[in-house]
Amino acid sequence: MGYSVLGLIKLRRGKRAQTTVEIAFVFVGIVVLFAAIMQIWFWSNKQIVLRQESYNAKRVEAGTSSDNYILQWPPTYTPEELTENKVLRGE
Amino acid sequence: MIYLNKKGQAVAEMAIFGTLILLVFGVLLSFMQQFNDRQYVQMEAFRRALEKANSYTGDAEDGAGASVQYTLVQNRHQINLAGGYRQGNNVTQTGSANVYWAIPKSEKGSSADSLLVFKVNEDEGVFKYNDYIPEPHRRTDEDGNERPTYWVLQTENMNTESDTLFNETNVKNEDTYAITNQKTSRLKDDIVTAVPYKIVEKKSSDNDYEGPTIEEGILYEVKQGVYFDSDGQYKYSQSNTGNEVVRGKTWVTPF
Repeated sequence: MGYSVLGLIKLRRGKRAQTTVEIAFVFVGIVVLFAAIMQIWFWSNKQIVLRQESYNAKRVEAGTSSDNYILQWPPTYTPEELTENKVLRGE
Repeated sequence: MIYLNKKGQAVAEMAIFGTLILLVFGVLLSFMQQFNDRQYVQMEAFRRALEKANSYTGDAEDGAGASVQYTLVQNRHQINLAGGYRQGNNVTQTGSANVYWAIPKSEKGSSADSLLVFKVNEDEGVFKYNDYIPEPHRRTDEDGNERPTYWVLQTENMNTESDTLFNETNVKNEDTYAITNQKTSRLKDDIVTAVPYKIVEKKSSDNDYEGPTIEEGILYEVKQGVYFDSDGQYKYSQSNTGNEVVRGKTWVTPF
């Protein structure tokens, strides 16, 4: 378990080492968690762009008048799978 | 004794910091859902307006076409950070589009109808502008000349009333072989969406002038209930009013 930074200075040498190791582990965990959250955020933003592209691809059909007009909705788009590799390794 | 206190402080610090990280993650998730839903609603409103304008024939026989003011209202279920197990939160997303598309009618010199269309979740209401404004009070007369005073139909802000019932049960059974946990949530959510309108007098010489209210009321009102569709999404429809969505999970921890 980590100690407060000011407290570290006053602690014994052995405790300080333990705290340093714990902080190192926690810091790595926090960075990984933050990176994973950002990857999910990027994935979500990318879906908005991809969906817009597939929507725009149908604009000529949607804007052409005909007697047997077909509603161009929903867009033919399948969201990208959000995998563990994508979230944790950014692949 | 000093070490014990310091340890306690560190645990408290981590508990607060961890909660903050989870809170930030939850808020980000909520934003993701909102951005996605908003995009869907705006896209759909325009495509449906195109379809309605192109396909509407009305009473006249001069082919299809209309001037459409399309409003799409969707109640989406979003995460609720403070809610119970699968409780969610009902968020209303609105998109609108205006389309004037009457090629066959224009070719034959016929005027296209003006429509107000409200699609609330899965139910649609179509209203013809001229049904509310009698001929002597329309903006132009039969020869196309502008009248000095005329009536206009204005829709007001939509009213939404929701009646939500949610409860959550946890059942835990222990025997000599395993611990069985069962978690169940029950959600009942009825929403009444109403679109008020009023008819007011206008002057062609003064755009800012708004005369007395001639008439006011509710243009479209619909009551809808929540259901869980086959794609795994919560949706609302008139035919599901009073419906209860029951979801749950069971997990067993063997010894």
